[in-house]
Amino acid sequence: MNSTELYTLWAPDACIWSRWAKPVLFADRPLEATFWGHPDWRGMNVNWSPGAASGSAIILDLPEDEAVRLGMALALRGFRPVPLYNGASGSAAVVNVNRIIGALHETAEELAKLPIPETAPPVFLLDANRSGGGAFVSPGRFDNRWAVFPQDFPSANFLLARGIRSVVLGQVTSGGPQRDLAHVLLRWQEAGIQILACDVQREAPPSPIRVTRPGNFRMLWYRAMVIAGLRRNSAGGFGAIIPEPSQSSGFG
Amino acid sequence: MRLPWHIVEPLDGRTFAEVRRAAIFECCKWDPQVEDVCAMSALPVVLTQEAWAELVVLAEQLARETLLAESAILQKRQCLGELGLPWSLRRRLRGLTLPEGGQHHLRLIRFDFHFTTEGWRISEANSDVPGGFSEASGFTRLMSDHYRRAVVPCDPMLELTRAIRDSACGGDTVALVHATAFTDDRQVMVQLARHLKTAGMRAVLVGPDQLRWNEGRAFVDTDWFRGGAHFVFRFFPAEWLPALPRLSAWWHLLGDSRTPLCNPGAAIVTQSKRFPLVWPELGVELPAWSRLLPLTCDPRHADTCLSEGNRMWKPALGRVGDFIQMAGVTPEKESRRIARAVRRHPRYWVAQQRFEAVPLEGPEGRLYPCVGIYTLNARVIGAYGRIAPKPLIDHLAQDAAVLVAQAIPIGLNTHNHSHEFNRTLHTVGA
Repeated sequence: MNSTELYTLWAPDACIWSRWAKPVLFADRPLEATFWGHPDWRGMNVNWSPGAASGSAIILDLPEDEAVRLGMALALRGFRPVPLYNGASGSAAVVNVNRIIGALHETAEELAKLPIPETAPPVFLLDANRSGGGAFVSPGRFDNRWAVFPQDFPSANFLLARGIRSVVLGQVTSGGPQRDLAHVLLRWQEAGIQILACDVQREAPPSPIRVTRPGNFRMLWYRAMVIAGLRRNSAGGFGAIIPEPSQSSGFG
Repeated sequence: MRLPWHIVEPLDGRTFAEVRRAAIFECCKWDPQVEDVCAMSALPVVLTQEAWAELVVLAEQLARETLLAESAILQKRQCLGELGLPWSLRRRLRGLTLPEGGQHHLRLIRFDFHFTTEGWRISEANSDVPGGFSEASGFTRLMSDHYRRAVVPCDPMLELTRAIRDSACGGDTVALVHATAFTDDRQVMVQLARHLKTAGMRAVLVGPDQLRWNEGRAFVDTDWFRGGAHFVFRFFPAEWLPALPRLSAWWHLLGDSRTPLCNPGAAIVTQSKRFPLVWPELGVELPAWSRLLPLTCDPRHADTCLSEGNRMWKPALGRVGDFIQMAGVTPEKESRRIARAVRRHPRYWVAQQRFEAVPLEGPEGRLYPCVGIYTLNARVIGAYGRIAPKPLIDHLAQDAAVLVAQAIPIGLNTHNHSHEFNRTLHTVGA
């Protein structure tokens, strides 16, 4: 299976959510099907999840390949997995994406066989390690860390128009969302979409959360600043794309 | 008014889905969706031959003037204080000594043209790190396959690859310097790397902190490659360079380099939207710039220079149309924030007269095209289109293929929407 075929299995044309699938992991370089012997996703516990007809979408923000496997288990329940991995692969990479690539390969053909309806709600797949876990990045390494932005997701209006009234965040912590994701969730929350969260390693069902305002929320310069943050960490200092306004308290 | 474009039909959904997928895998278009908007338009901008010829002349004249102005600014260094540049960058530019034969660097610029009620105008020159040439190359070629009587005017990626190969003087290693963690930038570098490889060169994709310098020559120091670079292509904004560690000796990237660069970072002086404010000091004639760029002034003089209802605010170092305040287009809340920033920090902003862009009235409604023309060493090498439903090209604008009509009588270019006419250009379903 080549990269295009693999991508098409994960992002079929007929599915409205496919347009948000991030292609970088599929298209960056010829994929090598490294099989890792991932645990069988069919046995994974998804009792915590809402039903596919409940008007809920799901975001899985889990480390390495866990979101792929849990996304497959949710596909059995009628959800459409949408990979949003947006970091490139390469030698000496800070964020190891090999397991994710392997899982996408291993499960693709099974995904294609599942009878997922065209109207299925999405389960967006993220790597919780995307920011590198705060590890020191030595100068010679390939910095492939990444962050999510609101424009990586459908708007609240789009979700509401498709009957999505709530979003469940599945993660391996009972805390709040990662900061970059909070920018997305708060926009949806403000538009009237209920946000719930759960620790997927526990049996407890999702409970409503109130996403609090992250720093620089809706700030015009937010995207540039996040990119600056990534560059800062790799470059050893803070940039100054438009320096003055970011110092102003009036832009928060 | 004679319009500079032909109205054609967009590709149908099925065909465009194939083009989109090919753009992703063949042309490294890894950001095909921005929120609810497809990043690529199924509707190309098909220019008349006459319009294309005019744009070529204008862009090459602008490029020649830009190079003259850059040289003048670097000689009259008091001008640097007016450009809204970070202090550390100004300091390095003041001390910049270009090596003998500094012209071995390549100068790539993109001028963004808009067709207005007064003819062509430019909104800006992307003089430092112009982007979009990946889309202008691959995506445009994919679109052109479906329009029988329109052609790709030229391929900027191919032209750039040839120029790099020639500049490297027999060397084969090209350092592609970019923010590796930013996929939107990396996709462009990966595509350029593929072209360089086809041309028999070795591309090394590196972060800006992974370059080192020895006697003015660049070399790469990473875990996957160590060695000299025969050419450095920078896809990292010059205003970010001062954030790099001293070890990287980033100031060589401004132009003080025996290794050929594209672009030397000194280009930032004409990237600044405040560049027009120093024109009177330069002692060089800039007739094309003066004619094509709307009246621009310091925000502190805006009340006397520009009428309130006919002006907009732009950040000196803004990119991708972000942070531009335009009454009636920019949301009210954002407008207030920008106005507050302008009041507090006017030295980092400009006020500019608005122009009235002429929309492309096509089958998808009213759209405003922007035609970016690339010049490489003052010679046109390609075009990059973007198109938006509002007269502001920002991150939500779509990439649009810019094609040039072939063998179509210019006289037909009125508001001609006849199916017969469209079919002459449109092969899909014909």
